[in-house]
Amino acid sequence: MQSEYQTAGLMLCFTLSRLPVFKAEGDSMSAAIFGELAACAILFGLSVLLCKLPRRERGGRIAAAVCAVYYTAALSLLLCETVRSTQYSFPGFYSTAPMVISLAAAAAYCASMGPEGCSRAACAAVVMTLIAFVLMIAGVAGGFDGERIEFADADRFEQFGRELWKSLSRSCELPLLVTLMRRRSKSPVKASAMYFFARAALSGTAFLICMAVLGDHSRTGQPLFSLAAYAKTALIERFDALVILFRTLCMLISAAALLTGLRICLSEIREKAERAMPLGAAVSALSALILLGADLSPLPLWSTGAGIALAAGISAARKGRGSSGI
Amino acid sequence: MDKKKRDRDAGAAITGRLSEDLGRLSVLLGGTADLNASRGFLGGVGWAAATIEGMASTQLLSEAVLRPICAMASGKETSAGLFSLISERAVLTTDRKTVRDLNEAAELMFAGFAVIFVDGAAGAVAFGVQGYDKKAVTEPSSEHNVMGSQEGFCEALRTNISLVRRRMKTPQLRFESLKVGKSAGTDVALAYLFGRADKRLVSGLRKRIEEADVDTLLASGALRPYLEGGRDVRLFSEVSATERPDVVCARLLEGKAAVLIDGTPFALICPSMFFENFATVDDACSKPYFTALMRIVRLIAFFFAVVFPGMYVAVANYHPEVLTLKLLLNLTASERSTPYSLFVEMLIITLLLELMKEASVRMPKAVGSAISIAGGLVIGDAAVKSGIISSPLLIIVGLTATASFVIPSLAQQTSVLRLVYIIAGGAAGFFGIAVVSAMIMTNAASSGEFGLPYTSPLIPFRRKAAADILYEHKGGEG
Repeated sequence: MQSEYQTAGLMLCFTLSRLPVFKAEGDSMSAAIFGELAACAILFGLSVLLCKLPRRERGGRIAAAVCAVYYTAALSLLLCETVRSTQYSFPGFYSTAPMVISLAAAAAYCASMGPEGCSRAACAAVVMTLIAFVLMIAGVAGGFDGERIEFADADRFEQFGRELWKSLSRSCELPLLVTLMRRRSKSPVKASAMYFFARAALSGTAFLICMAVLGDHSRTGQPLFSLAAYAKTALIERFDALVILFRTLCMLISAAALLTGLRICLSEIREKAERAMPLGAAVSALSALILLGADLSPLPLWSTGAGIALAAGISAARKGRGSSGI
Repeated sequence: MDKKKRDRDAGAAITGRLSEDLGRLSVLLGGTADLNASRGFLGGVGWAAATIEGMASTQLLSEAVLRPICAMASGKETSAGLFSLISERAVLTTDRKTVRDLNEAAELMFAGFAVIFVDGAAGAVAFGVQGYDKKAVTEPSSEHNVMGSQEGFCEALRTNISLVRRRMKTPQLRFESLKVGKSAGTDVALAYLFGRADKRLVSGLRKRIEEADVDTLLASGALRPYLEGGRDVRLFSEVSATERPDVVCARLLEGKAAVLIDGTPFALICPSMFFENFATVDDACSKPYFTALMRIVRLIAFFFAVVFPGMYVAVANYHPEVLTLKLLLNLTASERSTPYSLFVEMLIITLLLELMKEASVRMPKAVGSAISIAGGLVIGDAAVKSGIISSPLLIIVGLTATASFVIPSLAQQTSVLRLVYIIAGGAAGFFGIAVVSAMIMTNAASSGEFGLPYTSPLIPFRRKAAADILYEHKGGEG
């Protein structure tokens, strides 16, 4: 069992690795902040409800299949986002296939070290990333202008609604928290509270700083990592290397946790037989396709597929190498 | 297995016929040249003292055993009377054992005992009169300190046990005697503090030592894989080695266990945590603020030794925007004069550094200065002047080499990981460094063979113990 700190750390790793691809759509960045805060509150409420549901030691084969596909989809999403943002920041440096394959292989290696190793490494990665985040803030302090922070807006409710919906829809974390972490965490509710509070604080701060430094440029509908194009040497460009370093670190550990979940699901599917299996698989495949949606389109599917297959293969072959203890 | 042992023991039983027993003992030892057996008569009864050459002190044997027996024996003895006098009535040495078979007698003789056979008695008496040559207790060669003890372990197990016992005068300190090795058993002592060490830890270690599949133990490192549970996938070891009895005592007080091995001046400590590598004996003698500063310096040194060359290659090749313009121009100017790429240069110079380190460890001390001159002047200065490598690179490698000597206990990991980071940084910049870091962090964090995570007390976080990472928590909880 892992502590609530470790569970929250692992989930924060997931959030930190996805934060740079956040897009503020519409005219108001402030709506994105409030949308994100509201989404965190709603998701926390939902997670408390879901965590309080009676827990079974082992779910059915359908549940395992749905989870497996969901984890695969989330893994694809992570891989795609990381590859896309890295290629955007450093065009011409990295080609897709080697990146995906190396990320998947590294994630599989991390997963093979066992869930305890992943959750402890996640805590370290989160602390390091937050330190780098603080350094980044200190680095852009010169360009900080409070007057650029604008909360007033004509159609604020409409924009708030749109941002809230977007924040909710891009949140893979809730199902992960409920399915993947619930079994292993000592106190899922406490972990959930810690995670959503930290996420709200982190996202809110990041958006606020973007707004204060970039001003109008932050209202472009571009993902955060691409804002460098609008703010030469102002916010991210100078720190692109650091952003890549820490987001890749967080991404790999999150991917390792997903692979661990995937391995557990696959072993559960192999052990039990149910007639409704094809239906479950079809439903989960459909949900995965919807989730992936446009995110997969810019990348060649074969490399993502090969990467995930490789990762799952290595992970399944090596199995968990968690500490046995004496 | 038990039946085999019983048969063997029955075949080697001491018969009481002195000549026959001595002959069989000689046959059992393969007629070895270092078996000494001297025979005589006392009160009309034949007796013999058998020792292994160089293992027993002849002076101690004659003065503490033979002379008192001769003085106490009456003019006319019986076999039973003489045997009783030697084995029960006379107090000669405290280390006395009665043996009934030749195998046991041989084992004791190899441990420095003198075995006295009495004609007509179906047994023998062994006296501990060890007197083999051994290295004296000297200053530890690999763990220097300023204000702590200057005593290091030597190679004799009994002396090492006494060095620990002298510092911990408590009945809670326990030494368990074990034997390792299928063909040539090596004496091993498992030390722990009863009531503080976890029982599961002690029993687990005992089991692993007993099950170690080796012929003989010639170095403490040979036992390490068995204590670690044969997990070679781990980058870091949860078993640390020390030459210092005071370090062993400090770790025993923390509830850990130590393994002392005959023939080696290094004790193994289990479990060992990552952050213990950054603590020294002197820390306990310093002011907390100085200790904290030194530990931060050591942590930075580890970071420098492992990651800095790889980061330098990554920044220079992939992310020059991280550097200030002036620094970037200087680096570009110096790199322009060299024929190889920065990545290749760094690999070459790092491998050369490892080569010189290995040479300095293996070479005779007399030629030490020659290597320093060759390494420092010829390879360093001349290579820069001839334009083979750039000056900034030499500074980086020099800094890295100095930093790597700060944490000798992590020397193996530092050397390997440095190369891995250079390759990762050269191949994929910060992306490669992130990939390697994630793998290393997960590997280190997953270690917890003895029930205590290797990264504790930081992860998982224990507030009181975590303070010890920065300063020595005097008189508090460890």
